[in-house]
Amino acid sequence: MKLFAQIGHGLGDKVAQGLAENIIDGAIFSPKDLQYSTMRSRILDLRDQYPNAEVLIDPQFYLSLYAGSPLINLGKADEWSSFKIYRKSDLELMETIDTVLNEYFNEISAMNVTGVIAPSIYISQSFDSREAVIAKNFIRRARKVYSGGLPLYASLIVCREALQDQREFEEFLNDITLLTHPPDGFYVIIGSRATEARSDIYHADVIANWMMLNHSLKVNDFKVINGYSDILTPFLGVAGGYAGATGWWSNLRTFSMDRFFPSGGGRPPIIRYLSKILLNRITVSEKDAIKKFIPEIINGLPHDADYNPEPNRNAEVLQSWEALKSLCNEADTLKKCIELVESARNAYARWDEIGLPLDSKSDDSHVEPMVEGLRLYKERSQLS
Amino acid sequence: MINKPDINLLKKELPDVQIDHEIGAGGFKVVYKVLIHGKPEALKLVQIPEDPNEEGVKEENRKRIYREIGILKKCESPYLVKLGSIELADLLIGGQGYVMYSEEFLPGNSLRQLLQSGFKPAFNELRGLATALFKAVIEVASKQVIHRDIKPDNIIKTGMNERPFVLLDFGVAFQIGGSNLTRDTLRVPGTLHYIAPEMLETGFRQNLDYRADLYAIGLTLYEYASGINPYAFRNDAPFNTLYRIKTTTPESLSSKRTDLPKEFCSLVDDLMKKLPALRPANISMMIKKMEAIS
Repeated sequence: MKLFAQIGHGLGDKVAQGLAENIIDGAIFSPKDLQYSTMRSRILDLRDQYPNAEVLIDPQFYLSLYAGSPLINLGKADEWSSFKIYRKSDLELMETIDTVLNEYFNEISAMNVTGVIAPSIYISQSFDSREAVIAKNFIRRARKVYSGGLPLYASLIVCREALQDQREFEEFLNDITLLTHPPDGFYVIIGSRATEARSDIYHADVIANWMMLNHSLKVNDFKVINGYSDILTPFLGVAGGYAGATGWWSNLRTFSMDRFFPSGGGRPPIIRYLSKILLNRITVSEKDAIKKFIPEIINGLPHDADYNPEPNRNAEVLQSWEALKSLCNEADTLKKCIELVESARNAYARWDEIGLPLDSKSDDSHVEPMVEGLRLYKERSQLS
Repeated sequence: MINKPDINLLKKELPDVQIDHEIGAGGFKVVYKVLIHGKPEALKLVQIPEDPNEEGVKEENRKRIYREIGILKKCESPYLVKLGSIELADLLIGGQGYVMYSEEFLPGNSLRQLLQSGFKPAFNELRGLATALFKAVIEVASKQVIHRDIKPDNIIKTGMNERPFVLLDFGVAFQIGGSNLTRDTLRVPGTLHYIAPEMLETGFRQNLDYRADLYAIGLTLYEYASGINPYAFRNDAPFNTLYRIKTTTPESLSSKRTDLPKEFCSLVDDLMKKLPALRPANISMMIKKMEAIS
């Protein structure tokens, strides 16, 4: 499973360093966060220095339907001449979809990317909706419109609620796995109601069906790149995914449309340490307090050394990528994933016995959904 | 078949056709081996379904049979049975209407006959069967038709090098976008033990695609390889069989035939998945993968 950097604002040299250390395999740029010209030159630099890196751009066309809102923060996304405001009724017309695709493909041809992610809209409620029909038409038309020679990924950007309606989800899956003009793969994003809502993504049905989506697409010879997959990346890899992605801010680890609306402000997030055995990030003080009781909390990887004392944001994301990459390499079967979650459950049980308090984001609330999610995935995908 | 024609009346209607013997019968049809100018062919008589409560249904179904046989006439795959010298025609025997046409008569045995003899095919034969059926489905699907009745009874092992297996019987084939065989939308066409799970959904015709045929190919390969249809139990009520088709996962083929390559068994298992989206649908890719198995 490949791991990509999910790029947001504050790019710095993190991605270059991650690529240099082979702890990431590529990057997904975000038009909202970088000026068009800056992005172009950064991509050129990366491709020049790291020729094996895979470099993609998330078109973020899903902002189009929200662009009329006075509160929306489009950032630099509307610097792209192909970015326009549309209404759903416009996009119900196939000719409009073709126009959107065509204009975007023309514009991205100037970027030195290694693959092209086709634009699409966000399915914000259900697979049985106008939005889902429009999204399906974007998927159906992408290959027909694209005439370039790069791998083409259709976008599937969908809210986690849609994954919870099993019947609608399966019908949608049946449709997108049988296409007259199939793309080479899919760029999949599962959206949460809020970036900080851990239980939105760490939910058994969401985990199971995100994995099932990867499995079904892989069975049908599609490459699946999962955006914002963060700690679920190894599981998605076992299910058949090609790559996952995560970044340095919480809104680059979990996708939510609230990323594009003003936040309530507040201080920057606390620096955290991704512990492989916990399958979670904990605060530095928690790590330091518990490591003498449960030494396995520490990954034993090179970037652990950055945490003495508390590192900066750059080092934090490198540690995250390093831990995730290591987890991806270890978790090569579903059985191994189940063992990893069992280890997390046991480690949390030991922590509980010691009686040290945990921050709400550091607790074990993700473990049971993972256990159940893996079980449901196995059952729904009929795996032996 | 309920209203099978009187053989003597049939012979009288078709004086140039030498009727040898009946070789099969189904819900709406009967098949005879015949000789036409000394050449063997399979003569098929299909009774046109009608609805006594609704005028026009019979004519609609008659047109549908004509249309689908017309499509098959255009199929060129060697792995599909070819039409014979008797063109589609209406026939009235003893007051009962039929549609009549002939197909080539194929030598050899059906896979059902081979299964009944206790025959266990080797991997190369199974690979040949899979490839032939995949290519047949590619051709049929390209005409927007779904066979819907792929099973060991409808496949002949011919002994011919160039077409070792041939798929027969398009009696319940489904034209995507076409009308139903009958107006009874609750009736599921096909053979109970080989019905794809999605065909048991209400309104399945809206979403049916060639993956229903891939499911039946998987099940046929499983049965031909192992001698077991995992959904067919002796003296079982149809409801129980349908329930199992919808809900139970058969043991992997690899547990029944440890001598077969794992990749082959895994592909067969995948073809039998309940949800069409979980079945591999890229047939050309499957043929390539099959060829690569050593």
